[in-house]
Amino acid sequence: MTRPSTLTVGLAVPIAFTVLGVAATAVLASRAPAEIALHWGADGRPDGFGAPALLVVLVAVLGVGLSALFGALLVATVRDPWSPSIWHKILAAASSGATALVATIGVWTLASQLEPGADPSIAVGMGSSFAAGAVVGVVSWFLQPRAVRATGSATSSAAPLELRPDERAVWVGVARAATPTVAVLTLALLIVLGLCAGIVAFSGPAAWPFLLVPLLIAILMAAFARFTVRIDESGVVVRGGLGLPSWTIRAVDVASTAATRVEALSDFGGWGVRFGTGRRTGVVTRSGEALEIRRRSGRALVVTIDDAETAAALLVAYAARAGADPS
Amino acid sequence: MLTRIDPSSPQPLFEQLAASVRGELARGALRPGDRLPAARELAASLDINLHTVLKAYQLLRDEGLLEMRRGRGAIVTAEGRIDPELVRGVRELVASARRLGVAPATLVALVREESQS
Repeated sequence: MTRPSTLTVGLAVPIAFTVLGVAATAVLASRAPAEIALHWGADGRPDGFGAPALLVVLVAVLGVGLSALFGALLVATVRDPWSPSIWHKILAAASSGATALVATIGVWTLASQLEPGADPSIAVGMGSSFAAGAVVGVVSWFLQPRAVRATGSATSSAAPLELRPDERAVWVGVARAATPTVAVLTLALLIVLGLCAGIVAFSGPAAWPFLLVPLLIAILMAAFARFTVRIDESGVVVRGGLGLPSWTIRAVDVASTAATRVEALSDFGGWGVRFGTGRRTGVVTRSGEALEIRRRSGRALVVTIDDAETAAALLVAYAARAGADPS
Repeated sequence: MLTRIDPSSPQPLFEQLAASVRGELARGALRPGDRLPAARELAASLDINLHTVLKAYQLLRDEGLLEMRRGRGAIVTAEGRIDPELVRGVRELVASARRLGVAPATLVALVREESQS
């Protein structure tokens, strides 16, 4: 029996649980009392009540939202769904588990309160829902094909750019996130801002620290969505949108440089500043062409950037010049 | 964007720099809407005078390839897209001028005359 692909698992399982969850909660909601407990306080006692139909909406919105978010990420980034990276498998399993968790919470909340006056234990409800989510997540993991290892480091250095003895050159490039990525991030920021503003509006001014969350996300986005790379006689400087983080590698410290290709999820487990296999630090704003600079210490810096071939050729030329004349 | 200059060449540095930027436009490494590095940064990296870089940028602006915006630096204009076909044509023209023994200054004068007629 052939296994279903990561894409099949990552899309079909969440959608199936969402459809099942909505159908089951809709049937149960029609048989439940007009008002049921929907929220429990920290002491384990119910403190929020409402119409059972709210649970149908909750399962539908969260289920569709989670399936769409994880599904879009999978569709957009997976190269070959029959030989996925470990990160794509985790993504598909997490999406399955999370939607199963949401559906189970909805069904349990309704099923446990069908009798008027029922006082279900929230600990039991949450415990069994998380257990159900975990089981579905693990099963979804093992349904998928075996994970393949990341592509790994570049093996050889680029050919040096030919520079005449007195000639000086500088290469400048910008690593920026792809437009869809920026759009998704901006949308996510607006949703978080809306949620946090909602929390403050409902809970009162004392909850203001929640507004620091969107602020922090905005700062991180500004710092990590755009990096400039400059290569000149002194070496290479990579700098984030806010000036930090930044890396400087002197030409004399460069052992090898090459243009390579990066798959953000497979090679580095995502975007931003990441650690990958082979002692590589990744500055990853997108998948695709990248510059890999290996230091003499053995550690490497990988930056996703266009025209990496030219950048690599220039840095190799300057590293050779610096090695021949260490001053 | 790769820019290169050779101080030992008789051609003025700002012209070399401008030619370098034109080459990047022709190669497609610079596209309309792209921002060039700040003149100060480029001058420091190439170890040349800031005014040399500014003079090169101004030359390219006068050619309509760049647009200077206060606070935003130099941006490649829509006219900054140089078709590779044109570059090939120029290369062939120069090759045939060389073959026929036509001096570069004469060739430039011929081109100027042709484009103004």
